[in-house]
Amino acid sequence: MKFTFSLKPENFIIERDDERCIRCGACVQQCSYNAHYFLEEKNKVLGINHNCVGDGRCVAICPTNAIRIRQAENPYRPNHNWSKEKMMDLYEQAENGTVLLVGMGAPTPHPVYWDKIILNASQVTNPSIDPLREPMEVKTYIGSKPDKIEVVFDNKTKKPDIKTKISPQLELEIPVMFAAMSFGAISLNACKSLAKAASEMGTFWNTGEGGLYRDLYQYGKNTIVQVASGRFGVHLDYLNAGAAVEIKIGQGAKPGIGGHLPGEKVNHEISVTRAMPEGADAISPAPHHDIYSIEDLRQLIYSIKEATDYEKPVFIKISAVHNVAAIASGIVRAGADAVVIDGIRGGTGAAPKIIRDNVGIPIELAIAVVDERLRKEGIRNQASLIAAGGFRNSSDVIKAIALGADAVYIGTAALMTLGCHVCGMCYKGICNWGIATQREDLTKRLNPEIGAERAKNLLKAWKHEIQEMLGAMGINSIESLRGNRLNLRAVDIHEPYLSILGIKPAGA
Amino acid sequence: MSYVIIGNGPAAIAACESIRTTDKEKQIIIISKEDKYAYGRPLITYQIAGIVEKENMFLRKKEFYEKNNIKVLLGKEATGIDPKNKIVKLDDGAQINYEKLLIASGGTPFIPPVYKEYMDKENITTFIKWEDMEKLEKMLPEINNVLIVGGGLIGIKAAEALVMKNKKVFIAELSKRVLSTVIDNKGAYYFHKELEKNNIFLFLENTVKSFKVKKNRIEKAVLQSGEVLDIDAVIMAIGVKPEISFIKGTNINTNVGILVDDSMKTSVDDIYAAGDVAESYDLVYGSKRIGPIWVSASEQGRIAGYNMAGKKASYRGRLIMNSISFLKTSLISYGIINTDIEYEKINVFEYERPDLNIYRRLNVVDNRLIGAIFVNSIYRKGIITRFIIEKLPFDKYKDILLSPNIGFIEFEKEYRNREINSVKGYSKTKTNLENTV
Amino acid sequence: MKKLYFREEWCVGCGRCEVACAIEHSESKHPIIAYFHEKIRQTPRIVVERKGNISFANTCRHCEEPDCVNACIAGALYKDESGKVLYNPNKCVGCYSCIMACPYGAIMKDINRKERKQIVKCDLCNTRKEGPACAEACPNRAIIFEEKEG
Repeated sequence: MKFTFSLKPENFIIERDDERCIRCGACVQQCSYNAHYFLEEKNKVLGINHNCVGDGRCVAICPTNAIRIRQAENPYRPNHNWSKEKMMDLYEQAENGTVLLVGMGAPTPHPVYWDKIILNASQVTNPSIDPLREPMEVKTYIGSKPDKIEVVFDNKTKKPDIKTKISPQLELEIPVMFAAMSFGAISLNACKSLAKAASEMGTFWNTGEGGLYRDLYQYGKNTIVQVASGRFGVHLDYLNAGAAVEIKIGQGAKPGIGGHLPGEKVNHEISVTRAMPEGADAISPAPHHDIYSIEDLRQLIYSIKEATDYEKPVFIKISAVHNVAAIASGIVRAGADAVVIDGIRGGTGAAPKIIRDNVGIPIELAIAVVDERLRKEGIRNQASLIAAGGFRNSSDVIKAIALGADAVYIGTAALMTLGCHVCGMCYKGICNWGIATQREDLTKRLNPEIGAERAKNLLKAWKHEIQEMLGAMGINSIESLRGNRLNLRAVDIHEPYLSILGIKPAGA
Repeated sequence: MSYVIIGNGPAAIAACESIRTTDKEKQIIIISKEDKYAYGRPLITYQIAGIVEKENMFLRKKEFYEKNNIKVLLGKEATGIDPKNKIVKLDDGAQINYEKLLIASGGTPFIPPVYKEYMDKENITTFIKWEDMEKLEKMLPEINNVLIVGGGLIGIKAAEALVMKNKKVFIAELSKRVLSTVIDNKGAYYFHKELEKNNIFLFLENTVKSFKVKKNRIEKAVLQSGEVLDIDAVIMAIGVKPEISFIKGTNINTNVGILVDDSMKTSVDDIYAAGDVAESYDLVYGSKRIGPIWVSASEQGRIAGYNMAGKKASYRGRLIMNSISFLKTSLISYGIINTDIEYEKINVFEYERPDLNIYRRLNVVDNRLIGAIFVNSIYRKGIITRFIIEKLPFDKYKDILLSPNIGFIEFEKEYRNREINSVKGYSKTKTNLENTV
Repeated sequence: MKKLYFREEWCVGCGRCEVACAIEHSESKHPIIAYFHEKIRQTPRIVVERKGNISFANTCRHCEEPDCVNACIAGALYKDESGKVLYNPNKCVGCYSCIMACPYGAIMKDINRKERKQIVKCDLCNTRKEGPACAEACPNRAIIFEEKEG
């Protein structure tokens, strides 16, 4: 029995309907946070509210639906400045003197512009298209497009052919890919689920900075391998195994700082995959220590292209921060085949809370300004624009494309297909859903057969919805929507954001 | 030409079923000494107790025989066999030709010579056959004090039935304990306790010297120890021996029973034996023995049937096993129990909780389990059979074998994953052993 | 014949299969009534074994040559035409020979029944049109109901 004196309040209340509880003990056995226990003397199952992180595992597992988790009320006097969360954070720091850590993306109440943007629909003069009856192209290509194309005709057959050499492209059956989440941040079963789903749906998944586990090389054709500042698991076979290489300069959840996977989590498989000693802390430094200028970046891009025989597109991933447009322009001119921008809502396995909530800009604005800038400079075709950071449904995807993105990365949404409840405790490494953990008893809970099926289902559903929305707008190809801001209108967005987004207000 | 089966018990029925998996054509003839269709003899005590009805004692419904082209000759006794001409002679003079013959004649009650003169009295009966059951059933309303001679499996079950019918029961048993062949002294203590709790008088190391008869009824029993008991009925529950009288004159090799190889064939071609009458390879003793065990009779009948119909099947061997539930006390035991006779180098491992009436004992030789006793502790104990049959190393599993919960989690991962996912299930033939050992 | 197969690598040890089995074999098939208000609380026919990180369920294998059917003196255990090994409690006399004989430990005493000695064993939910309840209740496909070659 612990007697520590703590001021931290509870976040969730476990409500158990005693008449429905059959004392099977499944909740006790399943909760890795030990929020339930069985009191034998009274033949009752009881809850420890302070341990509950609200991840819904017990609610789902209970065979009689006897458990309900509700948010604990604010026990303090209402104070607009000193919200319960601000007070909790302060008490935590007073007790531990540490940097507060969090998982998942920023939940802060910044406006979500996706919810204030609406789509057009064709009516009388420009008829809408029925996607079940007519061809609807949702396929898109990621890579550098040439400025112009020279077509030659064969002398004998008169058949046309393209003389211009085209840079390597990724072919996407749907403009949605699975975002970078490393093996180490998430479990191998989670990686397997996403790799399998991406392969079967004709899209791509991203290794994140954890290297590529040997069993996943079979999905290489659908893998984007990442080179991050720690260079974990980066070797020639790794670069050649994937379909594209992504150099990660930053991510939306923690722009400007590096990453840290604690030594306890570096087990045998992770140490082999990352090519590092078992049990050692895996630290990704803040900058790449060989990229201190844009010229350095260009040099790295071309080193990788040389190493992979110019067969694979090279992406550069940055956080969306203040001067994202200028940075993007520099990256394109440095030779990147795609620029990946990750907004403030982007997720993470572990980041300092103060950075995650306060650094970075909303992705909606970032897409708009990057697309606008690259078009103005006449270099928009030289690199694809991939957006990431809190995409929740297919309408967010369509709006992103209409604002100028070529494709979208989903991270949080992908994990939710595997069972994630966005409780944000990833950094503790005891994820009840077997996603953000390496503990074998927990990772076995995520059966990739089921995970891959659910991830596929999401992409399938979104693909159909995208087709419906395109058809409603009277467009029959996703390429025709790209940067087509006239199909968007804003509700309740004021200047200057309206101009930054480059869209008209509804009614105008 | 037909398949002919002498005997009408579980071995016979099992043989019919396995014959019919291969040969659906040739007729099967069953020669049944009793005039009843195949029924379960062990159910007799339950019928007396009122737990089972007579019509539910039969092993198969009438349609079984019709559907499977089985002709049952009821009330006919085999008196001799002519292997050269392949003929079975019956007591009514008939001669039955056979292509393949199965001897599944079971056992007859063993009556010590000293009691033979009393066996025709009104109120004495053995407790083996249907007619014994009917005789006792008729007596039941008028009798009160019943003496059971023999405290073995049959005697104890008879005692249970009579107690459930509110009779006063006496048991006279020659050895130091009841159930002497299937339990040890420590385990028997719990049965003695249960007997006492139910006011059953138990006379150990004792038997009947003589009976006092009046007007064709036994009125008193004089025990060896000198006691004289006033009794209304006597049940002779001493035991059975293989019924092989009709084999005289043939060159079918016998010892105590009919010797068979692992395809249940006797020393004479086309003649097989199965069940209580067969002396077959015993897994624990490693030699041929008789073993009046219901489950063995079914297994052996099945194997014999396959071989008779031309499908090769090789019996892995009999494992002696007994389950007896007497009122609130239950016992499951396997293999070699009587350690006072056979081996000197038996290691004994025990676990006892007298406060919970639980007793477990394991007999181990050369790191292999050869026998086990479980009193009031039968949860999933059938898994124990694997240790004996497959000769698994004992030391690895010692703690689990003595604990209340046995399961597959203690086995090697590959073994248990294969077993809990077995498509065909556990087999009685030798092929099963090859896969598992 | 479709049977149940158990995959140790996916079992999370939650025990939903045991609960589903007990509820499915109750009279009301309602979780609360089955557990608290019926005369006899059902014993699950499926057993979950747990030790450390390992857990898995197992049941009757519906053997081709069932030891339990061989051992049953009353004919209460039988193999039906589809190949399932089934139990008729009306014929059972409570001798527990089946428990003694089953090498899978798949047969268990019906512990909550006091007035009669009976057993329970998996019947592959043969009266349930959706098939076995345990396979449906498993959250991680550790129990599958399918046809396999031997």
